[in-house]
Amino acid sequence: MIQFYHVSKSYDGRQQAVSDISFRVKKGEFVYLTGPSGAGKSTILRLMICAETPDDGQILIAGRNIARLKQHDIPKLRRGIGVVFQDFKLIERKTVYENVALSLRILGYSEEVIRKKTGHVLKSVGVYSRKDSYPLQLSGGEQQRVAIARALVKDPIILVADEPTGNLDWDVTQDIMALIKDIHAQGTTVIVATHNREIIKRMPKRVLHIEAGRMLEQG
Amino acid sequence: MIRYFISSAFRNLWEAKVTSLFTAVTLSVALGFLGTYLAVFMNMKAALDLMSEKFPLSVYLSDHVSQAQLDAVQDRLKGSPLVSGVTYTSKDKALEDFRGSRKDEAALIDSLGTNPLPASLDVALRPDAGPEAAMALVKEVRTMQGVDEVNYMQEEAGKLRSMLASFRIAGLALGLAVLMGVVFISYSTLRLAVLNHSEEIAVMKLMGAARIFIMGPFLLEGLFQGLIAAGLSLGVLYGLLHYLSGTPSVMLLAPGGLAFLPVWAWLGMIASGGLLGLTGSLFAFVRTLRM
Repeated sequence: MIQFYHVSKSYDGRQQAVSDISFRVKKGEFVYLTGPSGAGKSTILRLMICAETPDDGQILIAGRNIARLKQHDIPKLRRGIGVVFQDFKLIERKTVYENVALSLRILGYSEEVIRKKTGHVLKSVGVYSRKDSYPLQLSGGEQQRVAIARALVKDPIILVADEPTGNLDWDVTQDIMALIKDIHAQGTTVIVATHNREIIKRMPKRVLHIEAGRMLEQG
Repeated sequence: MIRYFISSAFRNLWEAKVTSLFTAVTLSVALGFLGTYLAVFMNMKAALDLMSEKFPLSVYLSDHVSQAQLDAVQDRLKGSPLVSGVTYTSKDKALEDFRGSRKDEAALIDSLGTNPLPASLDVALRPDAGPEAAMALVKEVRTMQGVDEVNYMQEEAGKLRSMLASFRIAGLALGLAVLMGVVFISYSTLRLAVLNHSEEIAVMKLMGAARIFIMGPFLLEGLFQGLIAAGLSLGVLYGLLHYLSGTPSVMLLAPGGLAFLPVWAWLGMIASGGLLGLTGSLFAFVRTLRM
């Protein structure tokens, strides 16, 4: 499903974010991307969603070489990927419902389907009662759930989550990971970037460990 | 999707209501210039046409005209193949007519003690009377004894029409300036709106939103602003024309009142407002996203 071949990326031509990274993630697989802060985890995730372009190497997502994608094909690729951003990236002036529904509106679903699917996913992540609230009225854990709901509602083929439990207490972390586990159980390919070893210990899966932009271990 | 675009556009307008209102008023002032120009142009043209049609030729007689002189002038006019009819209005009849049509100003005339209005001959020309032959007749009648003044409306209208032609060129320049002004105002406001929503736009791009999905609400916002502005300027113009129609000086020139713009003109103004607003927002969006 995801293949990186000798991928390198630097910012401003100097600071090397990732260097000569190669790995494969099979369809339906659950993979952790670990490493200390600044190791290059977020860069790898951003490369996967075409938010960055590699300096060297090839990236294949769902069989498509992203270097050969035309500008208008990038949104199409992104529509198949659910992303949970480290900083949530919820739209502050939209309600919880509208934030989640936006995913489906982008895909062109009818209002009726949007209402049904959004209501369902908000219930499944436990924030349905906050559907008319605005992101800034929510706790960190609730915002994280909304971000996950937004990524899940469109039934993505790939779920990419960047530190989805960062700064959350252990109870909320467990809830969030349980949600991600459920998504994976439905056949979605999942990549979770985290530096939380406790999560990996409790829910062991294959680990890609990177440090200083280099892949050190593929468990 | 259209419903989402429309609701988002209205929401954007509502969230920035002060800016939206300011923009709509500014745009309406710009479009109002165009509307005013059109209204003035059309009413002037209508008044000229009416004047030339209704009073093609008037011969004003001197206060001391003798019966023989009057007969000579009337005979010359009636004998002309260009003339289809001559109506004599005496000084007394002119005063009586004036009192009938201008009741408010009758007291002013009475206070003079004498009748200042001249006797006149209203001459109807045949429809096939050419302006050059008519001018020759006018010149001849002007030299006749007992004639004080001859008003040939085609002659006056010709001068005014050439003025109108210059006015039309000025109108084109004004139209162009308004067009650019409206696009620029719309562009500046919508650029601000796009910048205000730049984070939201970035998130939508990462979620895979197509360009048209992101642009749609902003384009509609520009369109609505243009439409609102055009409606506002037309409303003000209508009120202004209605008010001016009741003023004495306008009643003298256009007894039927000033006409509002014809349907094609006000529909055109609304469409132009919308289109220009749309163009401005398109420029704003493309330029801002390119930065």
